Amino acid sequence: MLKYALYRLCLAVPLLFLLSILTFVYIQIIPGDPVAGMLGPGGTPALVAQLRHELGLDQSLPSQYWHWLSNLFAHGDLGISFITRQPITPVLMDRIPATLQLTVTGLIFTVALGWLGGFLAGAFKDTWADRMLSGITLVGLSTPVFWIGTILILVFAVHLRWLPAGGYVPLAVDPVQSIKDSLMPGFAMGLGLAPYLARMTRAATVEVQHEPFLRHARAKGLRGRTMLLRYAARNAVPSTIVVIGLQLGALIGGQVVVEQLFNWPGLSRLLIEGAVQRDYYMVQAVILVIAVLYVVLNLAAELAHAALDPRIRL
Amino acid sequence: MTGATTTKRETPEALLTVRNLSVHFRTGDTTVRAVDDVSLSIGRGEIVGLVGESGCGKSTLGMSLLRLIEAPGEIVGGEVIFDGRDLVPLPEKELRRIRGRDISLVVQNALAVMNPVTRVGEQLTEVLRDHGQAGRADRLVRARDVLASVGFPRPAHSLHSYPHQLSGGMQQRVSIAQSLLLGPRLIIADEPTTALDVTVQAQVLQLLTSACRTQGTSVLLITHDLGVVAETCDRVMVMYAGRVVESGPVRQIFTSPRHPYTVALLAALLPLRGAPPPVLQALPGQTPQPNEWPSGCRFNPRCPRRAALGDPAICEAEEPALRDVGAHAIACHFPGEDAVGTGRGSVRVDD
Repeated sequence: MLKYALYRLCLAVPLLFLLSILTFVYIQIIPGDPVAGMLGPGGTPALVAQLRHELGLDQSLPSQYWHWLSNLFAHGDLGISFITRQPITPVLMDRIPATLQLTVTGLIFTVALGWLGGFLAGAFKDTWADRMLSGITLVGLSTPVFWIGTILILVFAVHLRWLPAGGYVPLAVDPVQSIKDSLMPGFAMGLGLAPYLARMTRAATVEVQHEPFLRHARAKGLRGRTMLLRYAARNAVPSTIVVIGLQLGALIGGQVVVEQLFNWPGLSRLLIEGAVQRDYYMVQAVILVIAVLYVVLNLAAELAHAALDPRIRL
Repeated sequence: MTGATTTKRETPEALLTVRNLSVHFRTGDTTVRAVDDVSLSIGRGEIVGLVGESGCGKSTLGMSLLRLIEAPGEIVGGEVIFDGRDLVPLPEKELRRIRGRDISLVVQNALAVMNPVTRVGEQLTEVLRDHGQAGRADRLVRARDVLASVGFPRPAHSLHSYPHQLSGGMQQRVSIAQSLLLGPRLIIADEPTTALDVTVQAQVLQLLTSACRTQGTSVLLITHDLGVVAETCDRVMVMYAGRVVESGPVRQIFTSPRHPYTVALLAALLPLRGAPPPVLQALPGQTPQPNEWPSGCRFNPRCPRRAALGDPAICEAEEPALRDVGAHAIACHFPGEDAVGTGRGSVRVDD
């Protein structure tokens, strides 16, 4: 297991390196000149040239990339924002915990709802429970997150007054309030993503019911509970971890709406603002951080899968 | 279908008595009579072979004894009396206690029937736990001991292995260990050695039978391998197209088969000594499809004896019952005519 973990970790390093190049190139090929944007209509060619030089934009692309990468590794420096002229790294460091908290909360809700609903539907296939859960997942799949979020705010914040309608307090400052803050946005994301996972889990559970080892478990006279948990669930659930890994992309990338709705200071909003203002380095930095998060969380999902299914550890 | 079949070996000390058992598979308008009006009995400590071609219903019969037939299959009639109790109407809850404890199952593909994500030790101890046997620590000791008894050189170490980490022979040994774990009175072994190398086959078979001989466990050995039957069984039943066509002591069946189908099966074996026959003649025709068994005697379209007798009408008109003829029971309208027209033939007995 440890060997497998190290192996996957080693594979992640070149992947991250490749990602950094892609991010860098990606932002270069987007049309539009940030300097012209910064200076506005009054920028003379001389002024533009001067500013380009100051920002290092007059150097060759490889040289710019090298500069960017070495600064990142040497000082954790991701450059400065074209707009605010402030270093980007501290801004990101402020946002990352908020994004992570929302991701984890959303993930917990997604997995809890998806696994439980999907497994129950699959284990009790073609019963009323299955039909009800399938109906709910269909509704869930076709309901946009902003609508779910609005309803949640109406119910839990406006009417019941159980949870705040929005806002964010860092976990370190006030843990209870922070968790309360994250419950609704996390739940909204979970409700949006759980139906897909539930469908996959149901399919995997139905499939596992036909495996010879389940019939043989009956021949061994095992209890229903043993067959359900140790045989059906333990075999069906790990295969859906891959789905969860893929959903993480949607989870991290799909936070824009939720962040906006619940006034959550995450990375996605930073990305949108940066893109609108052509803040090259900011966009580049946020994309890189999101990509790293995605790779790391996917790695965690793969390791979890390996931990649950011994046949994967090669 | 004719009336009730009988067999003389239905003795008071029989452990398992099956009477007129029928298992049908209904899909749409067609009904497949996979097991049709079969009666048999297995004595205590007896090893009984059940042979026949693929699709003759032998595995279905074995599974139906534990009532493990899956939809659309269904036991539509008959009794399975195990130790004085009929298992057919028994509630699932009580049946669960019998499965694995009193009657256990060994199948061909040991790897496929083991839980791929749990360790060998866990798979053994969970059986003990679910049958309410022993405390946690004691269960591990028993699991280790049973692995040692089936020839694991380092049983304590092997408890930590996952099924896929073992060789095919070792997987089947685990399977046998598991079937012996609770000291069952009957083991249904469905092609237990078919998937193994020939050298390993002999070891595994030896292991199973010697364990059963010493513990007085009865075995129903389902196989298409007549060699295996000759080596290990006390008695043998031959199935054809959902029916038992002949049964009797192994020696008798092998030296003087009475049913033309058994005769043909045995003729397909190459003699160990002497010159091989110049040509292995195939039995004419094919195994019938289970949903279109021939009328009358199901073997009649392929029967060399019927052909030699000039196609008597009764073979097509009436299904022969299993009747005692000497030490055998045979289902044939012309049980005595075994010298006639049963020349060397060959029947595929592969699976």
